[in-house]
Amino acid sequence: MVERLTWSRKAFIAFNYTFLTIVSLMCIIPLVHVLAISFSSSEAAAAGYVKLWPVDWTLSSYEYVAGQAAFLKSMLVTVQRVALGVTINMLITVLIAYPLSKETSVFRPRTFYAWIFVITILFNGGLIPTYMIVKYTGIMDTIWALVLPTAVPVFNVILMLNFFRNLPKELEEAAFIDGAGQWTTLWRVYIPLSMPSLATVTLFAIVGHWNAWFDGLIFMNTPDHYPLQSYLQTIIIRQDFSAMASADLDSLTQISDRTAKAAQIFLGALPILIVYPFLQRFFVSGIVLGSVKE
Amino acid sequence: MLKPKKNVAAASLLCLSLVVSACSNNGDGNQANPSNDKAANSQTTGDEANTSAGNATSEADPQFGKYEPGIELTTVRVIDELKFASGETIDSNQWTRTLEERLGIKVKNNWVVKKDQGQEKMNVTLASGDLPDIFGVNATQLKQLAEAGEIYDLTELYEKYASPLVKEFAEATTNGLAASTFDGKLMAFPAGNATIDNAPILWIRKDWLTKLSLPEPKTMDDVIRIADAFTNQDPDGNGKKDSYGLALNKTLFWTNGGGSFGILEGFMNGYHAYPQSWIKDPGGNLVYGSIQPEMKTALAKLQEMYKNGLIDKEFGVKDEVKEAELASAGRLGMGYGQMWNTLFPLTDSRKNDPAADWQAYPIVSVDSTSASPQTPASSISNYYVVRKDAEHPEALFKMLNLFGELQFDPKTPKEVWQQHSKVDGIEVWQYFPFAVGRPDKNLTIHHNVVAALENKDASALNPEELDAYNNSLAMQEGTGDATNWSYDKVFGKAGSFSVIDKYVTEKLIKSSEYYAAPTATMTDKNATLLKMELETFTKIIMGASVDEFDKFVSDWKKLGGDQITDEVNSWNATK
Repeated sequence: MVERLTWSRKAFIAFNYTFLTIVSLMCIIPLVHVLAISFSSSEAAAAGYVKLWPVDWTLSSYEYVAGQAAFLKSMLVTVQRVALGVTINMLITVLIAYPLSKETSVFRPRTFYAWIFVITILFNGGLIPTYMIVKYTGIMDTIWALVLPTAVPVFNVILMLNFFRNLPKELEEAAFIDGAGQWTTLWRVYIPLSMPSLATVTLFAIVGHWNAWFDGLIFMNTPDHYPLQSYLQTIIIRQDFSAMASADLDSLTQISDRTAKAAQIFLGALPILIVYPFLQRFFVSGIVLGSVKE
Repeated sequence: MLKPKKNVAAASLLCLSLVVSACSNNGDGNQANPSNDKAANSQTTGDEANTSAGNATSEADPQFGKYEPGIELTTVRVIDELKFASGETIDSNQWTRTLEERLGIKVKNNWVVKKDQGQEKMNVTLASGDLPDIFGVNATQLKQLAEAGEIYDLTELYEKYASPLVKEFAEATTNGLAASTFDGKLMAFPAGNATIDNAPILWIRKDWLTKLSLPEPKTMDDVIRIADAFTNQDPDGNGKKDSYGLALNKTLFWTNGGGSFGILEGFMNGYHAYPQSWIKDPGGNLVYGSIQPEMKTALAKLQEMYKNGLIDKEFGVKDEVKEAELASAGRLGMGYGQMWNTLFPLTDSRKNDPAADWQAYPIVSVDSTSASPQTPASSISNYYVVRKDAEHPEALFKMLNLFGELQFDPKTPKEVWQQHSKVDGIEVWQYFPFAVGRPDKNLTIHHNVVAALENKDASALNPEELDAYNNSLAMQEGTGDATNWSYDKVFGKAGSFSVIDKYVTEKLIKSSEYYAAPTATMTDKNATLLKMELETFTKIIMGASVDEFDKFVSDWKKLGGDQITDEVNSWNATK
């Protein structure tokens, strides 16, 4: 094999590896930098001495975070949100994708429903109408405001739908002949066959819920109810001094707490970092399988 | 095959009709509003007499009388990171109890959000029309609310219900009352500061001055000489040329949300240029400071300094925190900034190097005319407004009065003061939703602390002043740590407030003349114009031809600047 490589092929491979290495480094270096800061002393971090390796190794910022009730509380909210939100997402995704994967001759209003879902990708209500709907539904300031508005992930539905369509029809027919109804066919035939695709979609749902911060900000009425990313946003964004009351002088002394922020950022990203490799093996096959129609 | 296509067409038509009908509904709603507003407005004026009469006990003493039976109010809260003693919450604490006990007022928080998201949350609330009874807004929101007729005219209530102390506070905020007045009606109560707190300060490492035996700066030439020496004469003594003479961050200016350290207002003022400020020209018209010819001179000087390596080569991508890393690493000796810079970000410099001694100096001038430090037109942290159909609009003033009494009246017993202000390091006063303060409080602290240090007598100080006094005392006795140092450098004898005191006594301060909310064209164009300004100035400092400035001036005028100037001047003529 090796001797058959032409010059241009070699050049292509070399370029590929260099390019991809650079891209991966660009992703990894900021993370390592944040990690290094979180293990450094705050003075060293403030002076910019910390690059990719901790200076004056210390765990004090992690001790600080462990005593930070707000961080732990918001972590709990996020865990709740992910558990609840992903369950709802997955249930709805499957329940919508299955009927929509049927032929129009079997499920007559299929096209109509499909368009309704597609429309929501193309247009959305905008911030204020969404806010008002949430408000008048009465779910403001509850966990439901975080999971219900995003309950139907249309993109995931389309992925699942295409995957279902790809499964051999003969399986379905066999199931029907053996006396299974639609429900049994879905749970006993389709779901077990769709694991790779389901894993991918689950991953999307988890990451989506884990990273969402803006809805927490808008729909939650007290910082106690913030999910983790909304909380992180509040500590990381720089305060605007232009409207600062003179009495806030004391709070100024606490701003440059960079190591603690770094520790919280890293802890916030950790669970996803851990989950990712386990689901990633389904990832490529899941998307590709779902994207090809027969 | 035909059938599905028809279906698609039908479905999309249906969806389209939904969209269209939703839009038209919206339109109707908007049009219907003004007439509703008027009706509601006239109704409330009628109601006011009723409610006032209904609560006789509260009316007997308009300023401090208690509501019997008690009333409930709604508000929304934008807060700092608050700490609570166990059992206390934002909804139940010392202040909520005092409010109920003294005034019979129960305040319900519709939502509570931290400062950074306050504006976003507030904008959603305003847009959805879900206003609480009494709440705090910024200048732009105030203007919207006033023009939409959503808020209560406070003119008469202010006269009748506000206590003399609270009135004094409002009057002492720079331009605060004027900015709250629309068509001669007072639509909000301004709570904020005197703008003197925002006058530019020149921070220099005094230990480096001493080491290189340089004099304190008296003129702009001195400043540049010092910057040169800090760069080239190795002030940190490590044998390497790795230090910079003048701090500069990428926002260039502090106004419009820029950083507070490494800014240029003070430098420009030395050349009698007033960036991003509205100043009077000799003819009495208001003009925009950034486009005046003095700016060009100052920018040319900066360009020269940059070329000679006195300014960090990478300033264009560094915010104040990044730029301050140089200071913390002992590689920076001077910078223009705000009075609080030793608290943030220079405190890290002291922590890393206990010899680092940042000292505040007054800004200096290029010629014999003394430099006028520029300040914003106003510094209002909150405009308190009342919803137009609120049941007890006067309650705002009763609450403000109570806060003023408990926090600022010298007759208030010290333990009561303490209980409502700061307990065990917890800032209890921040629990109160409608805080006001003496706008020149910080300068007063400085005066009192200096007097107490001279007489060695701290008995007349209030607890807040006592904190500042103890910090300075620790420094005097040589036991101070970095925290004591950073407070001493603000409030102490030679602190930044001694500089501000000099500005005030010599009447040097030059406030921006335009204090109203942004004009129509400002709202539309100012962001673009500011961006263009920042880009041009940054380019010039980094070496582009100084004549780019002339092009910027003509572009600025063409792209909306002239229109803004007209609007500002017609406002000036009618104010």
